[in-house]
Amino acid sequence: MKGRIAFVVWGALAAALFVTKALAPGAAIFRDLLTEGVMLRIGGATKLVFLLVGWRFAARNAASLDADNPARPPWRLFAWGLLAFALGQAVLSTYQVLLGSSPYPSIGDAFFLCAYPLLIAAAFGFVRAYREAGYPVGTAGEHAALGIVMAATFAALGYKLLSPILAMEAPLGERLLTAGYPALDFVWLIPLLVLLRIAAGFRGGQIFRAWAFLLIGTVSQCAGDIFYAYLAVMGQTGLDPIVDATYIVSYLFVGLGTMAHYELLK
Amino acid sequence: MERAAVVSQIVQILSPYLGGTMAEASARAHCEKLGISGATITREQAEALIGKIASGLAVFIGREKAGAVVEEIRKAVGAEKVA
Repeated sequence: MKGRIAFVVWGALAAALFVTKALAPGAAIFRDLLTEGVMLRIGGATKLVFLLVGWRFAARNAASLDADNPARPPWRLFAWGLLAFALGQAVLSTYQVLLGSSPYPSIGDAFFLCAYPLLIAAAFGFVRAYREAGYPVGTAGEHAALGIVMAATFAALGYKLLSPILAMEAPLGERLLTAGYPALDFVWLIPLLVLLRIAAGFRGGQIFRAWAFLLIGTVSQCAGDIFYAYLAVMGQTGLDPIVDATYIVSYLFVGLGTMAHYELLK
Repeated sequence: MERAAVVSQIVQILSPYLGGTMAEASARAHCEKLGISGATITREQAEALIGKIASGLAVFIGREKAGAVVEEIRKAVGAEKVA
């Protein structure tokens, strides 16, 4: 319990720092004490630790389930996905700690990109496992219809958001990456929002609480990527600390969600 | 045994995990699937209902914990385990 409170306080303080920086970038504290390099290091270390916590508990959740439990494979995939994110963040954090800068693209992006197929497959796996558990959470047809509507919506949104990024004046690799992350997020959001529909049926129970944390975390991570891409299109850089705060909060909630699931299984 | 009383006990025990609405909806859905519709429920029907609930619950909370919840339900409804 104490560990979880410390985890939440750490995340809240770190996120608050970045939000304050976005609101008052010229404040003396950000000029003299919490300089750009210091903030990069605080953000990088926080994200890395939070991702490692999420990975550890997701792996424990997979190990706690029997081999024939249909939720075990998605928990494994989710754990691997978080590990890939953590490795990507570790590369990025190494640059940030040593150089005080965030090269983009970097080798870390290879890990971030590898994480997406794992996390997307995990989300679809959870939908399948929970639908087949025998609870009235909607049929495969209903979930497919919901997925098709969301895919059409995200395709329209994605086209509007990503076309300007691909046309920007920047190296091809950078443009593809900046557009690629939100594109993958839109794909990930489809099963995540179906999961949200499933989890909503469990309101008031511990299962809902655990999934609410996890879904707030994953959906806000997607929102962070999409917001970053939007800022890139608009040529805005002053709001970058908000993106950092979003990632910190999202990884905090992912960590809390994996912990809450572990408590459910204990 | 009275069906409403058994379902009520099951819902009460499942609610902390599933939430009240899902606990009630799932108990009702399992009853329908098992053809349990009368005012009374036999021990065999109660055991079948508990078995269905256990297999679904295990997907979310694991077999061990689901087993403990099921034992609690059995004690509450007074159903003997069918060998």
